Amino acid sequence: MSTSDFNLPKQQPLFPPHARADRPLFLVMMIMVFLACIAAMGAQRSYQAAGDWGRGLSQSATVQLKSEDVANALPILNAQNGISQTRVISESESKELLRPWLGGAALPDDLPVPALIDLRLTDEESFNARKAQSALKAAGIEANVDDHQRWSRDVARTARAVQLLGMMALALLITATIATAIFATQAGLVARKSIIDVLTQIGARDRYIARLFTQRFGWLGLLSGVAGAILAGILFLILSLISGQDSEGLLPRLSMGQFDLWILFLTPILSAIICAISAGRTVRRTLSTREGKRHI
Amino acid sequence: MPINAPKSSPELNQAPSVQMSGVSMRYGEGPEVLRDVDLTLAQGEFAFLTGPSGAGKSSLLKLMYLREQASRGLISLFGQDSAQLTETSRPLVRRRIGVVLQDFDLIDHLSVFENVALPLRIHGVKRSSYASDAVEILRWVGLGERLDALPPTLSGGEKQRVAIARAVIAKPDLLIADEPTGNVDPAMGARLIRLFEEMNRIGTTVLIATHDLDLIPSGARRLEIARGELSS
Ligand SMILES: Nc1ncnc2c1ncn2[C@@H]1O[C@H](COP(=O)(O)OP(=O)(O)O)[C@@H](O)[C@H]1O
Ligand SMILES: [Mg+2]
Repeated sequence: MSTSDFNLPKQQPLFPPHARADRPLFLVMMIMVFLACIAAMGAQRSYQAAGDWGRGLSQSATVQLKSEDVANALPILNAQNGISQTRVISESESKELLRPWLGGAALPDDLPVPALIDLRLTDEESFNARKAQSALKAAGIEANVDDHQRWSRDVARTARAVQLLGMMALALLITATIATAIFATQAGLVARKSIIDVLTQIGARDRYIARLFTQRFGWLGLLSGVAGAILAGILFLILSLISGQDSEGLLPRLSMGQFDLWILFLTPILSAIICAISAGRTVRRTLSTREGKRHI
Repeated sequence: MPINAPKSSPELNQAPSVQMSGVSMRYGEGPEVLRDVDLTLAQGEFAFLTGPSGAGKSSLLKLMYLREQASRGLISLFGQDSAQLTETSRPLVRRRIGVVLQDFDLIDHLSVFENVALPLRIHGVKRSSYASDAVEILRWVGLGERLDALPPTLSGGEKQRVAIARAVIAKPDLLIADEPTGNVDPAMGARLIRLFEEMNRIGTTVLIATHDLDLIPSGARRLEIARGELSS
């Protein structure tokens, strides 16, 4: 018998290509990946910003003293280690700094506003605030030298907390993603019960059936991950356009960096791997308990 | 016929295809629907299983094609104790059994051709080498023009013939059919029985459950079941 008049059609997938049961997984995975990208990029930004502030603070120190002592203090300070530059902050500048706290009211002229000397440090290691203070004291100058150490410690602590928070958020998201994938796989098993029964009856191994799920859910994880990452990328681009117009604020400017591109690229892959492995394992576990009872 | 050579030499298949002794079965916590069944189907045998509706025909077949487990007794298939089968060996036993079910069990989103080719696809046979087998067997059952049709668009009789084609395509050692002619006219029924006889001629053990006594050729082995008890 000839079969030349029959055109061999393209092989159809064993699972229907558009399964209603898988749609919630797509949506949830997309949201998870979106949140994961936002969390990672946000945490990285806060961490970087905290680092910037900390560095800014630790490269400077401030000396507070009476105005009449300034002239005597300068040579003593300049003799200290680790100072690259000293700058006397004028009285009007000091008053300007106080204004936000005291309001627009004119300061009485006899109010003793302490003089300030700003020190630029070459490096924070060689400068010793306590030594500088006692050197001034030895010369009879009552002064307070502040190297912002308390502040930079706080900033560093905050930065670590933010980083920890970001990693915790990621860990929770990954856990939730695995749980979601397992749930979705179980729903997918039920939805495809009749197909699995047929495959089982004609001698398909559990491994074969599990692989069908691994492929389907891995693919689903990748597609939903890409969708979520694209959403996160778009959101960040919009935010960076908005924040770019006002670049003088304390908050760091948002702009796409290499780190962000890696996050947007890797998260969908991670989502695909999580979905594929969770699905495969769930199917193997479910199928292995079914023999001897009814199918599934 | 696509079937031209015995699948394996008879000497290698000395063990009976099916051997049951003292087998009872129940669904869940329900009453026993099979009681103390003793039955042997030698390799190459052709037998009919008859009995009134509800007698337990389908249940007995389910034990043979490993869909259900016995609550008591021993079942061996091709000499292997079915209770000892593992995750690895059970699919291999199933591959030696072709099954035609009362409700057909076709996959709705796959074409007639894909449904029939499924066993070979699962067994890892190359598509180019099973395609002509699938087409040929579908022509034999009169569905050569409906290769691309989806099962929901077929009549009951057509679905039944797809199911039969799928059951025989991998040339099983044991062919089990549950009321395989229930939905076709007498002429097609006779044609399908001829297909089963052809399978049997090349060494396949065949067991057909039916309540249609006219279908049974004179001289064929007949197993009768009533209220879960077998009398041959
Ligand atoms: N899935 C099932 N769950 C519970 N009881 C069943 C099931 N299938 C069949 N039975 C019962 O088992 C008995 C035998 O049924 P069955 O094997 O289908 O008989 P037959 O095929 O001879 O008509 C009947 O009493 C039927 O109600
Ligand atoms: Mg029945």
